[in-house]
Amino acid sequence: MKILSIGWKDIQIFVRDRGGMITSFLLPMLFIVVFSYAFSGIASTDEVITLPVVNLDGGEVSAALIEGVNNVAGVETEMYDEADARARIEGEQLQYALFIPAGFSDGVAAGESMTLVLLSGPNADGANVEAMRTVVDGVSKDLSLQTQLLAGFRQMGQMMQASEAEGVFTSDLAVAQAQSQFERAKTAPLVGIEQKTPDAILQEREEFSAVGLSVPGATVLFVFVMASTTAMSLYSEKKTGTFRRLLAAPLAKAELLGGKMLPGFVIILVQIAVIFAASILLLPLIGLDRLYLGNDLLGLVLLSMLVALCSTSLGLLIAAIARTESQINGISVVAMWVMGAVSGAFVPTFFLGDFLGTIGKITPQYWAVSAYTAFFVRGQTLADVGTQMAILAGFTLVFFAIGLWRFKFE
Amino acid sequence: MISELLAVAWKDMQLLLKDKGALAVLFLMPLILVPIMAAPTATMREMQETTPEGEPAFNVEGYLVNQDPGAYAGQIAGALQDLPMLDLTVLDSVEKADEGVAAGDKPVAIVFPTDFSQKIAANEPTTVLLIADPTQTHLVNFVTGIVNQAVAEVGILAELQFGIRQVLAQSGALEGAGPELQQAAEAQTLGVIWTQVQEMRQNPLITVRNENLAGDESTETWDPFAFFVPGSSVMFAFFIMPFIASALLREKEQGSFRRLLASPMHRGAIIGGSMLAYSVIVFLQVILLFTVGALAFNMPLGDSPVGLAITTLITALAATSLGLLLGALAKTSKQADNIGVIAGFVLMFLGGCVIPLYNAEGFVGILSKLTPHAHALQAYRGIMVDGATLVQVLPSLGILALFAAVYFALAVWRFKFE
Repeated sequence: MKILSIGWKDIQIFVRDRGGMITSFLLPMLFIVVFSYAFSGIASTDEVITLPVVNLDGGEVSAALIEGVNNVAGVETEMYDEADARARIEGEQLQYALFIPAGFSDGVAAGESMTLVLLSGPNADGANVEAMRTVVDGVSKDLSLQTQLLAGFRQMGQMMQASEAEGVFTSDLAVAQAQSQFERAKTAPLVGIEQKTPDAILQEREEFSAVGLSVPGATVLFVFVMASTTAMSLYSEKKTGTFRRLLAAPLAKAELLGGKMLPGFVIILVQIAVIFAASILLLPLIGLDRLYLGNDLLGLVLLSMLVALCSTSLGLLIAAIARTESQINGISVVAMWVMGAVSGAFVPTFFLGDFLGTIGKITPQYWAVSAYTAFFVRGQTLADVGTQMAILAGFTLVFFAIGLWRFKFE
Repeated sequence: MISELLAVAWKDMQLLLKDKGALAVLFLMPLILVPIMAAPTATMREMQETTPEGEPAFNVEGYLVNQDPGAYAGQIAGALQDLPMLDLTVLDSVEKADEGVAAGDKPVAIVFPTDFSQKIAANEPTTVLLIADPTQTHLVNFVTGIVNQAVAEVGILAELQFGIRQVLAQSGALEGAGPELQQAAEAQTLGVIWTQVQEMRQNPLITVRNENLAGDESTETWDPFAFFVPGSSVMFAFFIMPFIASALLREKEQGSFRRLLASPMHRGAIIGGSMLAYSVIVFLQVILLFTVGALAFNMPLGDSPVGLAITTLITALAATSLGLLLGALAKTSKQADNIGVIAGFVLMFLGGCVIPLYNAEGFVGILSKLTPHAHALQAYRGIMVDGATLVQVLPSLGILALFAAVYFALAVWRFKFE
């Protein structure tokens, strides 16, 4: 009861603190919205990129090239006249445009080397330009090969006619056969690639949602930023001498600390619940997918309790080792953000490279993000995240033990 | 007036330098976060690097399931297994591969269906199935690129084989010949044409060239640091907002302003001094980040140091003016702190510090350009990435200066010393 009354007082203080409320509830949602949009670009397979084209040729080969580019999944051409395209590139309304030179079709038909220009402007992202160049290059290489093959067959026929040789190869038949195969290849290549998300991830859903990637990161980031708030709350009690006065009361030290940690634990649980509820109810209102909670709600609750406990214990540890308020408000906040960043809270850890990715694994945030992702994205259950839970429990015990050992009440 | 202004600035600098927490947020945090934010792009670039032998230096693990008893799948699968950049574990069932990818054990599974070779031989389109982990799309794209190359090779060969067989059958040239003779004729023709095809592929008729507006072949590669260092600099420059606003309001709450006003000090010196102190902090922030970016990560700085300095100066003025305005509008230092933090994050995302939203078309692009961040970033990136001169980035700087002037005017109008 004593613990509960100490805890209730702290919860009331937190609720009145608008800054704390903003950091705990509003900022995570802001991060979730931004990163869901960013990840939906990464994860989307149906995004269409427009390639502006200036066709100064107007012949058959250029038409075939444009048709070929349009047949590439995810790319769509849009025609511009030359002056308009240049003006838009200069005015940064277009990043790039493909220029097909005059005489292109005749040149290719005559076996001459022709160059297409992908003109990029000052705001062009080099990676996007190169990706588009690769697409056009792939289509034009196929077109080159088809043209060269047909020319080769015709030439072979002429040579055989000239030498009156009696071979097994018939030029007209070869050309007709090649053309029929090229025609068929326009709709589908002989050997294509089909990409799909694992059935075990999709479950009953139609497609994978990027929200499942952004919610764990933002939640864990801000849950652990709360460790600084917990630390500050403990530190200010020490600073104002409340602890000294409370020690005179018939309360055990463990009870005192428990009472101080309990509100942090409860607030974090509420924080997690609010973020998840908002991700389910509010995200669809702005055109994003609703959060899919996975197949194991009990497991999710247990994980959230462990994560909350870990953050609260870390708060105790920070309060125990920090000597000044600015160490808690400044350095520990920076530490929480950095730990969050290397743990995959912003971007998946494989993007971070070997060095940062390895550093990330020594933070509790990494294991928390990994466990939440297992629930939300992979549809796994508590039994599958045993390693993550055990490591999080280990971090919690270590933080709590060192915190309890080093904490000075006076 | 000047000496008063400098005295106030010096006092504010001393206060800030004593606040280790603020220093950590303003200097340490951007320094650590920039390499982390740039890491994804650096990793993607690493994936495109090649060994001296011209092969990708990157290595990705995956599963391989070959359900096809025919020769074509075996041929592609064998070629994929021999590649040093793929580390494939062979599985005997699609379900196991699906579960493994779903559990995150490997990012991708390559599956050849049972009728793969049969369909190719009949010249009917078929597909290789890639079961892909949606959380690791860039590793999946890397594997897709490799598999694409491998299947393209076999696809062309199979098209040629089919075509030759059809032509030979239609021509009737080998009518009555035994199967061995037919096979030999097919193989001989294929050999001749394949050699020519390889030559044709080496020397395609059509090439695609990247070119910039100056007509130069643009070979510049995307530098993540030239994107994230200015992004972080602008982002953290504007995070000065809550610091300056809450410092001003604390002075007011503690009654320091009232006492200062009793002295013969000019009101402008009090405001200007604070602004100067925090502008210096922003300047130092940017210098630190740019120096580390240039020295440690070879970040390009462009050809206009004067342009960079003036961009930094106007950015600092815009950030501190916005801080002043916040200080003028907020009622308490705590409120200024809270609004400043949330405004800092919202403007950071909207202004394009993380994703260049100012390049977006439509409403998002317009909204982004309504932030000072967007114009500061366009000026920095113009100078650093596109090699623009000061004159070329003047439009962005003009708008940024206008933001600073409007913020300052509003702040002076609304600020109450008591």
